[in-house]
Parts: sequence; C-alpha cells; structure tokens
Amino acid sequence: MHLWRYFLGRLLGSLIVLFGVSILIFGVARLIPGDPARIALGPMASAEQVELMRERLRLNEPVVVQYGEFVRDLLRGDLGISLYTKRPVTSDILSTLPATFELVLAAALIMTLIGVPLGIVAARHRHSGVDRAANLAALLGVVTPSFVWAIFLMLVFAFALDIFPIAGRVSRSAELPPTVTGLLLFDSAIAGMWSTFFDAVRHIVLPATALAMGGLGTAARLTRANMSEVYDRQYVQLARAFSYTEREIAYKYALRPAMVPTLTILGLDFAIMLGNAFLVEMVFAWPGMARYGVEVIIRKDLNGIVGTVLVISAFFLIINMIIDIIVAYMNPRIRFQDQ
Amino acid sequence: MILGIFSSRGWYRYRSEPLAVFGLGLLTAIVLMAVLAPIVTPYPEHAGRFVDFRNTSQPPNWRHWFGTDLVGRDVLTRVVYGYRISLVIGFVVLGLAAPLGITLGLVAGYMGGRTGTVIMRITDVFLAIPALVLAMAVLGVLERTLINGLLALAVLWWPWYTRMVYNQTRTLRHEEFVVAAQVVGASHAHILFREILPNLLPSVLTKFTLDLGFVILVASALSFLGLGVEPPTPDLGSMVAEGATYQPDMWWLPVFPGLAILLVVLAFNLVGDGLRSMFGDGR
Repeated sequence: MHLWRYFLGRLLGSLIVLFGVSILIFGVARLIPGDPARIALGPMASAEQVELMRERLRLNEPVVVQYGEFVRDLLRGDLGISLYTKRPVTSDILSTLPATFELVLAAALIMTLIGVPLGIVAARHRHSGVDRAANLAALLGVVTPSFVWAIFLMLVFAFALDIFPIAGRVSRSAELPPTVTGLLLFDSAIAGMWSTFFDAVRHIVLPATALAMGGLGTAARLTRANMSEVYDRQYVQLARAFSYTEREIAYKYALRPAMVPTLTILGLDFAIMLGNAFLVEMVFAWPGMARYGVEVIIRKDLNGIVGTVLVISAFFLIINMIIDIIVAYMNPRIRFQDQ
Repeated sequence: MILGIFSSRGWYRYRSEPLAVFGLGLLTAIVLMAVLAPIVTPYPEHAGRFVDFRNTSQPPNWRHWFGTDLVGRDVLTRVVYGYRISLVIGFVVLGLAAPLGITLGLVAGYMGGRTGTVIMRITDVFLAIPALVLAMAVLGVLERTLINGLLALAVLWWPWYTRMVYNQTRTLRHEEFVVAAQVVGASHAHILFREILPNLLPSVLTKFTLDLGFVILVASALSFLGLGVEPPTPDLGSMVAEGATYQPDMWWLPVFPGLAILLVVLAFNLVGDGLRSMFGDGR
C-alpha cells in the first residue's frame, strides 16, 4: 500500500523532470546558428524548397507554438522527421535502441556481479592485500575512459590473443532469430538458436566489459565503504559477541544496509554508462544508437538531436525509478518518511 | 583549519597515505611537463602543423619514445602538448561551473521554500540527461570552437555542485552560528558566503580536485567523438580516435595518448582522495 503510493509519487516526479528535459533540449536545439532547413537541404536547394521545409518543420511559428505542437506529437509517439535520414526519428531510434539497451544491460550485469562481490571481499578483509588490490583495481576502472578500455581490450583480447571477435553484434554468417524483444541474446535464447546465442555472447563480452569498467570500480568502492561503516556499528559487535561467523555477519547484517546507498549511486552510474555507450559502440562498431546520435549531432539534425536526448533521458529516469523502488522496498524508512 | 593543507597537521595526515603522495608527485610532474612543454619535449615544432614524410608511422624507438604518427610527428611531444589543453579545459570549466553551482546551492539550501524547490527541480532536469549526451547535444548545436566546448562542459557540471552544497547548507542553516549572525542583523550575502560557505570548503575543494580529472575525462570523450578542438592542436581524445582506426598495426597511436588520459585522471583522483581523508572524512 505505502510502497504503491511511493511509486506513484516517484512516477509523477519523473514525469515532471522529463517535461523539464523536453523544454531544455527543445530550447538547446533552437540555438542552432543558421537555418536548420537550409542545413538539411544543402546549398543547392532553391529558396522555395527551403521555405517549404521551414513550413514543414514549423520554423515560421513562434517558439512556444512550436513547442506545443512538438509535445502534442510527442504524446502520440511522433518525434518528427529526421533531416538526415529523412525517416521518422521514432523508427530510427526504435531500430537502434534494442542493441544499445542490450549492451548497457550486459554492462550493468558485469558491473554488479563483479563490482559488488569485490567490494564485499575488500570490506571483510579491510587493510589487507586483497583490500588494497581491489581498491587499486577499482581506481583504475574509474579513471580510465571507456573508449580507452575499449581499445585496450580490443588490442589484447581481439587482436593479440584472438579470443573474441573484433567488432559487431553477431557474425555475418549467423542465422538471426525472429525479432521478439529486439534483444538478440534474449531472442535467440527463446528461439532455441544456441549457436547464434553463443556467437552473440562472444561479441558482447568485450564491449560490455569496456562499458562496465568505470561503474565496476565505483560499485566495489561504494560497497566497501558502506559495508565498512556498518561494520563499525554496535549491532555488528553484538553479533560478534554472540559468536556469529564472519560470513553470517557479512551477508545477514552488513550487506543489506550497505546496499541501500550503493544502489542509489549505481543508478546515477547508469547515466554515465548510457553516455559512454556512445563511445564504446563507436570503437566496436556496435549497431546501437551511438552512430545515429553522433551523426545527427554532427549534421545539426534538430529533430534527431531532440529525439535522441529525450529517449536516453527517459530511459535513464525509468531505470532510476526502478532502483528507487527497490531501495524503498529494502529500506522502509524511505517509504514512510512523508508521513 | 579550513585550509588545513597548509597546516603541518593536515600535511601530516595527507602524507600518511602513500597513494595520495604518489598522486601528488604524478600531478606535479604532469603539470610541470605541460607548463614547460616547449622546453621539455624533444620536438616542440611537432605540436602544430608539421610534416616529415621520411619518419611516418615509426614504432617506439630511442629517438621517438612513443613512436611517430601518420605524418611523422613525435607522439610523445604531442601527448605533452595535449596535457596543456586538457589542464586548461579542466580549470576553466570548473572555474565557471563551481562558483555558479555553489551559489545556487547556497541560495536554494538557505532560502528553502519555493525558491529552493524551483532551483532544485531545474537541477534535477540537468542531472536527468546523461552528462556526455547533454554536452554532445549542446556542442552539436553550437559552432565547434574551444570556447563553446568549455561552455558545454560547464553547463553540465554546475548541477553537481548545487546538489552537494544544497544538502550541506540544509543541515547548517539552523546551526547556532547562523542564527547568531541573523540576530545581529547580518545580510543574506554575509551569512551565505562568510558564515556557511567556509564550512563547506573542505568538501568543495575535494570535489573540485576529483572533478578536474573527470572534466578532462569527459572532454577527451567528446574529442574522441570528433566534437573537440580542431586539428592540428594536439588533443589526447582525438589522438586516440585517430589512432584507433589504424590498430592493431600502429598500436602506439591510440595506446600512449590513452595512457596519458588515464594517468592525469588518476593523479587528480589520488590527490582528491588524499584531501578527503585529510579533511577527516576517510575511513
């Protein structure tokens, strides 16, 4: 019941923020110097053609009217026509989004499954060699740009050792499963096409690892710091006095309260990963949103820019909402704080 | 106490962290190299438009420690010059973003009420767009000049300071020293900047140091995507991007500039961590 109310409150908050994002990015896109219609059509177009394009883009109307019509179209899922591909922005984005989503999801999985245990081990053996090594590894993860990770991993594991493929999402020869979710790993698994599945796994390992490295370090350091704090609490001492084993203390008492602040920050890490996905996708020629996003930005395609930023922000807000709800579920104090 | 870095006790605490000392040494070396680039680099003329077709694409050797690029320029020289631009970007961006973000955070936290809510909602909007994506959008729209690049990065960095300062101001605003200042009739400006702000300086200084590294990291990501400074100015991110096309045969082209970015971000991080534990927040 209370969780439900909390969820509705968060949903409303996210929608308000998304509304703000749409105003912000719409405003930014209108800062383009020169005439977007002229940029889209090129120098050879006649004045009439440019005028027609301006009409189609509603550039002759006041900005407020433009924004109103933009929101009306947006609510119907229409983000306008890309001036670069000449196709609807919505379909352009929908065709590339699943690949990016899959990559970010895989990275998040790697980040959590390696980063959190690393932090737990470091916290349980504070100031030991393991702790120092974990700290250093975490630090290296944070300070290295993801495109540098991507290039290092590619040089070592794809070129030198030849364990993983160099680029792409799946081998050219692979048989593609019918599209259900657009997530290749998922689709090929439910279609039972295991050779395609394993081929896709081999392709995603390096880009996902490159993308995960930054967050992995943060996850490890946060888990360690927050667990260390819990270890200093009296109830942990009490548990020790009652001769609980260190393993029990770690997993039953220290981990759960430590995960609450950790999770919240990891939600913010998602934003970083969504941005970094652009870099990693460029290195590994991953067929996601990156190429499209960079292309529309370089070509000053205003509908494309607005659409890309809006979709990525919505994606980020949804993920953060989910994380907030998990956190609220784990920590009743957050749920009840308004009462 | 606030500028404890200059006190012997602060320095003692800082010195007790070996990694922080290492970071400070690394940072000093990088800054010195960047400042003295025309003197310390072996081929200063290679930083600009320079072509030597007899020496193109040499792997690392005794004359060119980091090898040479496609038109025969010394990669080591260009990396050192790349540090110059990176450091300038870091300081200018935060020099713009931090004061703005701090002021807004102080006002929002101290005033509270409607003013505070409006400021914090706007902050939320900026934080809801992944930083790199926002910077790309702003840069894509504007002319691609160094000034605009700096502005784009500043636009995405101020909200972090606002949020941090806001939270801390909220906890301080009912403290007795603030109330005392109110009672004797101090102005809002005095209370914000002379009473509250000094208490926040340790955390602001720590964040500033850590962020210098991260601004450099994001700036290099932008130039990696082709949204950075124009050639022939040496820039670490675009050097990596250029070199990435020619791997694995010319691995030295992306690897050394990549390592250079890693080292400077690492240095700022270690120093920031050192400052944090010096100010007594470490465990």
